[in-house]
Amino acid sequence: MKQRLVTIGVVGAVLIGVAWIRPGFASWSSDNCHGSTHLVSALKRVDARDYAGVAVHEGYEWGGGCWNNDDRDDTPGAPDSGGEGPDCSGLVFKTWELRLTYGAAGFRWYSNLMDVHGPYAASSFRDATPKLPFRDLSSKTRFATTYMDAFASPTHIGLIWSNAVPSEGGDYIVEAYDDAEGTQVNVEDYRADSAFRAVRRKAWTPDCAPRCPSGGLVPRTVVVG
Amino acid sequence: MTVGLLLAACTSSGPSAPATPRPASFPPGTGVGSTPGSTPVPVPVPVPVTARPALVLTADLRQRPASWRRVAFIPYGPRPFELGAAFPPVHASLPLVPRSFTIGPDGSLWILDTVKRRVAHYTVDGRYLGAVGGLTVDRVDPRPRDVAFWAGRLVVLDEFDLAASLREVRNGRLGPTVAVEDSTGQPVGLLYVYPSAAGGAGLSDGYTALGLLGAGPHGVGEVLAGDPAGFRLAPGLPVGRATRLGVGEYRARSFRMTSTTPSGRVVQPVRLRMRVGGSHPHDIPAIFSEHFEAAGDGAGFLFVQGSPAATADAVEYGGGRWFLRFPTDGSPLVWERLPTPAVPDEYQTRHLALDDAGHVFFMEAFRSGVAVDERCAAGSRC
Repeated sequence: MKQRLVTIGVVGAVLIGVAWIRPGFASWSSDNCHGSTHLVSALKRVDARDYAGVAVHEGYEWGGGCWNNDDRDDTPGAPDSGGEGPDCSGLVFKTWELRLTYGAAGFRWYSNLMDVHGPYAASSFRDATPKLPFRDLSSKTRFATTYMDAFASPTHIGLIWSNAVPSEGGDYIVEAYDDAEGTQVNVEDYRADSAFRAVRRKAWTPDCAPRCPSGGLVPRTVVVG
Repeated sequence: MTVGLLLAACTSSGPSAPATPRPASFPPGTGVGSTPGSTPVPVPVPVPVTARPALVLTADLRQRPASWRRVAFIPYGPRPFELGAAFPPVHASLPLVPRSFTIGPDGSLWILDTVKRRVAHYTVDGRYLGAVGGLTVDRVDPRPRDVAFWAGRLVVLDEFDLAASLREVRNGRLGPTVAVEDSTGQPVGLLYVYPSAAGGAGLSDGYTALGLLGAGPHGVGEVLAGDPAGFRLAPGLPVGRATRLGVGEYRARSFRMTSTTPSGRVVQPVRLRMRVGGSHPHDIPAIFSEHFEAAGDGAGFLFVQGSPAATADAVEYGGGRWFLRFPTDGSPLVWERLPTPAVPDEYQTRHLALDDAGHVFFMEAFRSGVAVDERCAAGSRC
């Protein structure tokens, strides 16, 4: 009886192993995503928008975080297969130059071709706690938000692309939406949708830096010694 | 496992012939939209403007949704009569549900079934009649956003990079894609197309070049025939024989309805306030967006969505959606709550549509299918 069980176990292990070791595990991301990353000291909203703009038209991949800049579908009709593009929270993670360590402050730049999603889901952004490098703005009024802030729900997050107001309200939002339509700028009503909260990355450097008008909010650098 | 959970959290949560003809809206034309130059350019003359005191509408978060009569429920599924839908966690961050609908001149129902890349055709009580396929839903082609009948022809509004394009259904097939530009040659975005017995009509969201967002024509206008099709602002949508109704001056808690007749213009400011009723009623700061989705029968029909502005209020009370019937003919104004969607329906462009007899329909997404409800007429039992 014991010998039979051992035999069954060995055969089972071999079958599982055969099934596991399949050829063709290569994916678009494994073939194309070899980007780089480095720590940086600051981030401006204008630079973040430029970064997100590269992702526009480049697709959506659930859990993905790698895209090129050819404005075309490199993995058509192949969802959830290591294809091109970020998902919603991956786009925000890379655009906001967040660090891979959960909750870590500071900035890390990732090339668009680096396949990284980061540790945050949409709900992590929506339910931001004080120790995270982003915070709930408490208010969704236009006075409270500006471009490159985000609206996050339990299941989705998008970044405000522009402070311009569409015809019927809402906002221009850059977002990784779905496999078919990919990443794009859309008109969305997340501001008027109670499922969404306004979220801001902490520690932005003002766009005007280093030549902001006097009285601006730019911290001065003091050299000691 | 940790990654799986994180990703899951990102992407899952969890009639018959018309009773009355619609008044002519825009100059008759051929093809998509009306023909430019088919009418003489009007010479601007000053019209008397009457400014009314502000109308305050209260969005009570304790209010129960009004009763609408369920006329059709069409399930999701692979069979032809079923509609397409896609739910997270795979393929999308938010549920992909049918995006829009319209009521044909014969009273039948056309649903923009984006996931199945078609416009599906039903009787108003949900019996499947067929479909027009061939829509594109990908990253490199225009994607469908809205549908409407223009002079008896079904037109699909597409968008790409925010810019609008149109495809007309001819002999059961989709025609070529026609871009929409204003007189300067700039591509414009259209948020809606509206049914029209004569030419074309749409709601422009201005220029779509990313550096020009916020500029260009904003509001209701004529879509003029041609390739590219033209766009020209108009005083509003026709709601009666000689009355047009427009919406503008949008703010977070207010907007203006402007009705224009040959004898003058009436401007009605509308203010919205959010209230928590009950034993201790109180107002709370809120954000609203209003959508001018249909017009006719002497009124305009708006879908209004609202949320508390403060996170703490949103967590405690949630938000809601309301239906506004704004009359221009002395008939009753209607302001009533709509049901909260059973699934997130941000992907849905249009919620309200009007048939030629003036009946109002509401399309609502559920987890298992799409319901189409008809607003109960005053005095009727639903």
